Amino acid sequence: MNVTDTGPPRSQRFAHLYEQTYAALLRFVERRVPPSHAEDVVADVFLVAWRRLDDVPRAADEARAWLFGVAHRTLRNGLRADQRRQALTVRIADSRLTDAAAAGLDPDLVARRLDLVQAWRRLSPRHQETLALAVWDGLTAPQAARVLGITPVAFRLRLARARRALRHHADAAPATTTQPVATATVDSRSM
Amino acid sequence: MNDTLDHALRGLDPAVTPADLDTSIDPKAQALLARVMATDPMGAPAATTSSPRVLTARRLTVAGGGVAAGIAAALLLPGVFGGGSAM
Repeated sequence: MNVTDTGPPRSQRFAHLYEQTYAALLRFVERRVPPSHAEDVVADVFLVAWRRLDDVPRAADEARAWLFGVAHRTLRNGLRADQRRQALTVRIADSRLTDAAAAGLDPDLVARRLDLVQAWRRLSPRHQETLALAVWDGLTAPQAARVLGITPVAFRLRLARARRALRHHADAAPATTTQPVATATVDSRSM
Repeated sequence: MNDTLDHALRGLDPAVTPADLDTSIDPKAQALLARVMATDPMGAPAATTSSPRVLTARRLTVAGGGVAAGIAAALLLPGVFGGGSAM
């Protein structure tokens, strides 16, 4: 990197990258930490990107995956040393179920979602992380593999196992019945 | 089958920021952008992350090097370790 790199083109490129990826990165982090902490993590990640802009891929999708990788390492580094080898726990939107029930959604649909939330909580953090990268973060297998530092083949294998485990837990769960809206409750244990 | 599962999961996404957030008019996003770009990109080096595996390999290399140097010293300079007087 030389001095001319810090001129307007560099700033423009970063501003463009920021506009393209800010919302996606914030959503990525919100899935893994409470929203109150998400902004700080996003700031750290963009600071890394600003200083290492030459390392950021030019293609928008690849740049997004690169930022997710930095965020992933930032979050893991924030864990206690004895927890670092574990995968990150990924949250799930249980509060939306009360909203859905209150909105008068089909009780069967709400019950199925409740079962899915319970099944999600029984998943290992590694399986949660794998599913979140594929389903919520919308990454391809090679991109998700880079975030986790594994091969695409290993990621696909892990994803298949995670889906199987989620289905198993959902099938094994006792069928949930929803109460009338006024008394509908959701297990809102923090994750 | 995967589609059904994925579709159900998508409805439980915990992210609260809208996916189509317009960064150019969001005050928090703009404030953060200004804050980041106000920092000196040449300043303090960005934090680099070393995996535990790399650190372990480095420690093993250093320890191995130390042992090798000790053995070499014992062979080449036996007097230092009290040897070499058998003859």
